[in-house]
Amino acid sequence: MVNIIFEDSFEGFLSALFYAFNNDIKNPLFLKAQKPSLFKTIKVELDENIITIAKGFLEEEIIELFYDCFCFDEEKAFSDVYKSFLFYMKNKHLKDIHKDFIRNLTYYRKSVNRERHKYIGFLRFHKLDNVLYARFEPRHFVIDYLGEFFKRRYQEENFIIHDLKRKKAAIYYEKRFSIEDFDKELNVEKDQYQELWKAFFEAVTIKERTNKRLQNHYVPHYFRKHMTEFDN
Amino acid sequence: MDVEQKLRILADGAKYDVSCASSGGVRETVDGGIGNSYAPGVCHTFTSDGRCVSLLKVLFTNVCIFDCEYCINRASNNIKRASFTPRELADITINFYKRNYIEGLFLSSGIAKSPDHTMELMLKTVKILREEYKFNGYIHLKLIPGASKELIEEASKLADRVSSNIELPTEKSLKLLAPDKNKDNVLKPLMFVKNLRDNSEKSIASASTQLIVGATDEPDYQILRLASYFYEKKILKRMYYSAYIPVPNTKHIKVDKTPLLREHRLYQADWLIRFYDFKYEEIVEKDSNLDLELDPKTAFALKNIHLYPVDVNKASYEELIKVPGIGRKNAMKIIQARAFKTLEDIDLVKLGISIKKAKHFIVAKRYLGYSLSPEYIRKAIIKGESKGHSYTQLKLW
Repeated sequence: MVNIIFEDSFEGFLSALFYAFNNDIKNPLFLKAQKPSLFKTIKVELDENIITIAKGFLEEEIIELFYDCFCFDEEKAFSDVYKSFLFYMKNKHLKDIHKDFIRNLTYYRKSVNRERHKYIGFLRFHKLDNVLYARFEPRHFVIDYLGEFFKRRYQEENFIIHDLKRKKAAIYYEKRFSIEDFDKELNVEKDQYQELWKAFFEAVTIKERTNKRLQNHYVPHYFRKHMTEFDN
Repeated sequence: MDVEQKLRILADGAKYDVSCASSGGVRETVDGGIGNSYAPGVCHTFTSDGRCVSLLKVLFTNVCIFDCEYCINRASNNIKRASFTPRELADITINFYKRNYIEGLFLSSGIAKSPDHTMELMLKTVKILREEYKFNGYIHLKLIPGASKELIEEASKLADRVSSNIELPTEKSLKLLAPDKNKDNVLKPLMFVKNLRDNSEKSIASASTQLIVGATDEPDYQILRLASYFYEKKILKRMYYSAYIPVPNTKHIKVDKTPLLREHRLYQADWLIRFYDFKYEEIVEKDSNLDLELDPKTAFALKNIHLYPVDVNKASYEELIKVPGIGRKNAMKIIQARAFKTLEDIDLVKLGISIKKAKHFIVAKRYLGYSLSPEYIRKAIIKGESKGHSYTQLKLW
């Protein structure tokens, strides 16, 4: 077994995939950061041209699939992507869903997409001076996707989407967009629209049909911590 | 009265309109504007009754000159009344939108003074949003029965969706419960919008309607026939069904309340008509209601048991989606997977397809059920029993 440390970005991860492939490394374990380990550890540098290189070997939609699985952000996903990558290099397709590692990719992608979609609805912005600020603790790496989404939606605003768990943020400021390491605690103050929103949330409920189980099913508690309308 | 109080009253009055879809939109942000629509639709939160909140769903006013018996805002009902100003409502909408509370606005209204007067105030609100704030989010506008053609045209150009609630499946019931409404003033706006859509280059809102289920005694057959007609003629994109919730002091409505399950079965049937190529006559018997115990696809299968079992390794997509428990996505998965090997039950489980219901109707190398007797399957599905199965393999999971 060999630990392969890659730079924490999709490009970094792709660089590591190609490195392991080219050097024929047996049983690699892909990691974002160094961990104490008995095994040999290799640090792979980011290759600036990796996307162009990858496009020479992989179809666009395969790269997109790998990207979504990378966003799953767990070691087992990295490792299944690598196995699928090897399979693809040999067979030029990933359609054999009887292979566990290929079938798992669909699962990772689904999980990531589901979380992206949920947060398009559940993310809450606070109005600070000249910026809309949202913070949350997603399971997967979704701020890049959400950033792109809200860039189209709030094109005239500035915003920060802060992933507290990964200490990263998608920042859109004066029409420039970037993903950055972000470890600041921003203060949010109550404003009247939050109160109005809570009032609305209460008023649209049909009391005769209370069904908390159904509500829990759709908005599991771990989403609620940063949602204005739920008491925390 | 402060804005919060107004919002409470006017949201409360609008909550019985079940429509909350924000999907299907194609509006893109114009330069310098805010907002876009998001085709898959999105829920921003769920209230404690388990319903999705996607839009700021409110009445412009709950003052109403009409006296419809099923409606809590009717003229003779003694409730607190309130009205927004167009500016107030536009400001709430845009500020909620910026905080990502909502996808847009769903604006309905009681009828204050006259239909045209009300429609004009609603349009004024929407114009502040679209023109002044350059808002490109989703807007659903209720067409007020009796409003003039010019205003309806304007509404269908500004909104993503317009709707006019038919409320009751027959004119007789409408006359009985809503003396101020008639078939003409609820249907004509929808026909008019359809004509606009057919003859215009510009984007015109799609249309929907809502029916109250159970306040009068029309069976599901009649309701689904009506829905099919609207879908076939492309007058409506969607029909909403609302199980009747009792309002105080009714004269003609005798029922207590309609079971939510009936509403649910109607939606399932509606889905089968819109997405699964079923005809309404296939899923509901003449002059009767849907089976409450079974979902309409299973009920169909039991009545047409000669069409089953379906062999998952050979069946066409069209045949697969007629299997209870197999939807469109799973049918595609099966077709993709069987290219590599002959599928057995264990493969289906691996693909994440629940065969609890489907097993009665499919062959995967061998028949997976126990008996093709409709009586047996009915009992097994209702009780969710696994008794009497000839195999034990699935217990591994």
